[in-house]
Amino acid sequence: MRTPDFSNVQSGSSSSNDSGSRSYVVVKGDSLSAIAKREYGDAKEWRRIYDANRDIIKDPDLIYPGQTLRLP
Amino acid sequence: MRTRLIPQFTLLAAALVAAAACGPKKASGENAVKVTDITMGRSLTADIKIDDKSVDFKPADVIYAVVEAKGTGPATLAARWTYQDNQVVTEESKTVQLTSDEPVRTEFHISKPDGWPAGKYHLVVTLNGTKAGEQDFEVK
Repeated sequence: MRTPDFSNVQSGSSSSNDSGSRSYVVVKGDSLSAIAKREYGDAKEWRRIYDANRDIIKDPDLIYPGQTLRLP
Repeated sequence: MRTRLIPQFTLLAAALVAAAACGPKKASGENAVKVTDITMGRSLTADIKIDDKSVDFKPADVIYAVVEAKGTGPATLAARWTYQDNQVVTEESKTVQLTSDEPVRTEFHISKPDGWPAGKYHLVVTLNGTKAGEQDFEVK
């Protein structure tokens, strides 16, 4: 039996007492507006997420499964 | 008579002060913090609680574990994820400052872009280097 390769596993953590942000891992089918709708109740809040993650999101229409975003 | 009572009263007062000083002490250091709960699931709420508790996952799932800790002082929480016969999947740690008896929830998450191999997994959580809890889970 082959040993599985876990070298591409992505991990992260956040706490409820972190200063105002936590992390979220993008899954297949996600968009910034869908995440904003789910997390903040308003899809228009997508820009908050985009602004908090400009270092890793070059195009707000392109996010990828496995990316870890900061949710402000 | 009066001159004999004063030293006795002074001794009694001193004894009371000493007894108060030797009373129960507030816990400090590592003893002051403890893990009170570990839950697992596929998604989180905005206030870092597991949305749908489960220990059964699918290969494409992001796997979350939320560790609740209480106490006063710094707490370094670590999650060690292993597969089957103790093959290490990954490890992650986070230090949080606990400031009161209000619980602090810390989430650890793992994902694998090409999907999790089916099988049995194990999570061990440590607090300041000491095992504080563990949880079995499975990918089907």
